[in-house]
Amino acid sequence: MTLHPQAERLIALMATRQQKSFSEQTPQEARAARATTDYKSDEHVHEMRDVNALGVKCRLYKPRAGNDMGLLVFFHGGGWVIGTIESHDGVCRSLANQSGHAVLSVEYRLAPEDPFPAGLEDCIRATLWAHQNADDIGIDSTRIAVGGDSAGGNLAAVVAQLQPVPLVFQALIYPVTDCRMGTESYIENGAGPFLRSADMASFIDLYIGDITSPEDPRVSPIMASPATLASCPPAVIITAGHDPLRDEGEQYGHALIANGVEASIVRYFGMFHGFFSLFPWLDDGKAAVSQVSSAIRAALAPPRSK
Amino acid sequence: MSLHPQGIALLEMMASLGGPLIEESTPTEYRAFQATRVMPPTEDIHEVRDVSAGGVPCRLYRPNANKNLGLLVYYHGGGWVIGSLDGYDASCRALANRMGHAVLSVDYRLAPEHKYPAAVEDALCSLRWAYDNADELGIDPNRIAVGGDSAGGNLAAIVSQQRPVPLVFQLLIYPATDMTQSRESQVENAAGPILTAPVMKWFIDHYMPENSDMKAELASPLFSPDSLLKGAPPALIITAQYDPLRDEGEEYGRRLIANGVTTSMVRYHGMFHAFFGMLGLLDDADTAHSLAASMTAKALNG
Repeated sequence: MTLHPQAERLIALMATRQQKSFSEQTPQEARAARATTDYKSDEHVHEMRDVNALGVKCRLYKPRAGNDMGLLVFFHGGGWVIGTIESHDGVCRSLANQSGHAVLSVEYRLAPEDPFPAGLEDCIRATLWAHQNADDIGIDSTRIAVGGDSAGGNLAAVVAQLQPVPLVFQALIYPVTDCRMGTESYIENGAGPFLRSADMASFIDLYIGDITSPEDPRVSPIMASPATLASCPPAVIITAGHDPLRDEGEQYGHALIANGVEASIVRYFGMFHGFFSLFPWLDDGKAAVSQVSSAIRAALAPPRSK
Repeated sequence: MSLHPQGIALLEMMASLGGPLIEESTPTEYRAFQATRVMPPTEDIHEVRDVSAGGVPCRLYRPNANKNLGLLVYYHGGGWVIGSLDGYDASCRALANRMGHAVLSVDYRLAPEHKYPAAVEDALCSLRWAYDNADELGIDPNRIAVGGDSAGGNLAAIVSQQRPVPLVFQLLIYPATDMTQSRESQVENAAGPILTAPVMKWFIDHYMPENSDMKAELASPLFSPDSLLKGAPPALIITAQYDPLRDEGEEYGRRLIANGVTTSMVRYHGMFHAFFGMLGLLDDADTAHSLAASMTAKALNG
C-alpha cells in the first residue's frame, strides 16, 4: 500500500528542512536539528512537573487531581542517540489526558557519550523510583506500565522483560526488537521514508558498539527465552507499513502471544516510522494515540472496575 | 495461528455455551438464538430514540444536546441475514460518545425474506432521509459519514460509491466486498474463527437471488468501475488478520487509493472477524472503537 497522502506531504515538508539523514550527521548535529523541529504542544495538562528520579531527570504528567491513577513510564525514541523530554512532550500530554492516567517521561542518558547499558539503567532506575515514591507522586504502585516509541519501545520491551518492579502493561510503538537487522521489512523499507536501514545501523553501532552483541536480549528483546517472554505483561504494539522495523515489531508481538501473553498488534498501513509522535500532522497518528490511550486506560484501571 | 489469548478464551467460552451452527440453522432459528444471548451492559448516552427514516426503522444516538452535530449512518453486520439494532446498541453508543457526534443505526430489511438489493435500497433510502431531515435529527447535512461492519461494511462501501448525498467519510470495518469469495484469505482463513467460508456462503446464498450477477456494483464493490471509486469519500478500513474477508477489505483500500481517495488502513493482528462488536469482551474491540471514533470524528468535525 502506498503512503497516505498526509504522510507524503509531511515527509516532503520535512525533507526541505533537513537535508541530511541521521546517518549522515553527527549526534550533535542530529540533536540540534531535531530541537528546531520539536513540536511545542499547548495542550493543557492538569499538572506537569520535572522530577529527579534517583539522578535521572523526568517529567511527570497528571491529567487530573487525585491519588488513584495508574502510571505509564515513558521512554522517548530517537535511536538511543537523540530525543529528549521536550521532543516527546506533546505525545506525553496527549497520552496522559486521553488515558486518564499519569505519565512519567524519562530523559535517560544517550549514546555515544553514554552507550549501552547506561540508557537502560536510567530507565530501570526511573521505574524503580516511581514504584518507591508512588504515594508522593499520587499513583498506585500496583498499576505501573512502561511504554515508548522506537528506541524507547526497545527500552520499554527490555524493562518489561526485566520487571524491576511489577508491571501490568507495555505499550510499544514501532519498537526496535531485533538489532540483527535481518527482517524482510528492512529490505522492503530500507530507504525509509524518514528512518533508513543505514540510520538504524548507525544508531545500533553508537548504542552497543563492541560492548555487546546484537543477539543480547537486553538490546534485542526478541532473543529472550520463552520463559522470559511468558513472564511479560500484556502488550499493545503499533507498527507502520513503510517502516524497516515493521516486521520485528509484529514478530515480537507474535512471540509474546506464542508464550501466552496478551499482545495486541496493529499495523497502520500507510504510515512510516515516526508517525506516532508526528500526530499533530497525521490523522493516523491521532487515531493511534487514541487507540493506545484507550488500551492504557483499560490496562491501568482499578481492579474493581475491570 | 497466533490468536490473541483473549480471543482464544472468548472462543472457548462461546463453544462451551453451545448453540446451533449458523450454516445448519434457518435464519429464523439463528435470529432467535442470537436474541437469547446476554449482551454486555451498555454505556449511558445523552439521547436515544427510534425514528422512521422514510419507512426504514432506525435508531438515533446523540451524545449531547448540540443541534448541529455530524452524523455517522451505521449499517450493522450479520451477513445481510442476522443482526439487529439491539445487537449493535453498545457499539453505536460507544461510537457516538467517543466521537461527540450522532449515530443513526439502520435496521435494513434482512434476507432471505428480503433478498438483494433490498438492504442496499434501505441503506440508500435511510441516508437520503437523514440528509433531507437533518433538522429533525439535530445534525448538519453537510457532515454525514457512513459506516458499517462486515455486511454493513459492504453496504457502506456501496453507498459511498453511489453517494446519493454528499458524504465526508466512510468507516469500513472488515467489509465484505466480494460475493465470489475469490481472494486468498478466504482460503487461508476458511476455517474461521467465527466466520468460516461455509458460513459466508450461507449468508451470500440467502442474500443473493439465484442467477444474480455476483460482481454487480451493488453487490461486490470490489469490482466496481474506477468511475465509482473516484470521488468516494475518505476512508478508514479496519481488517483482522484471521478473517476470510481480510484480503478483499485490504484490496478495496488499495483500489480506493489508486483512484485518489484518501484512505487509512489498519490491520489488527491476532484478531478475527466480528471482533469489533465484542465490546467488554475483547480489549481490541475497545481500542478499535477509539481508533474508529478518532478518525471519523475528525471528518465530522468539518
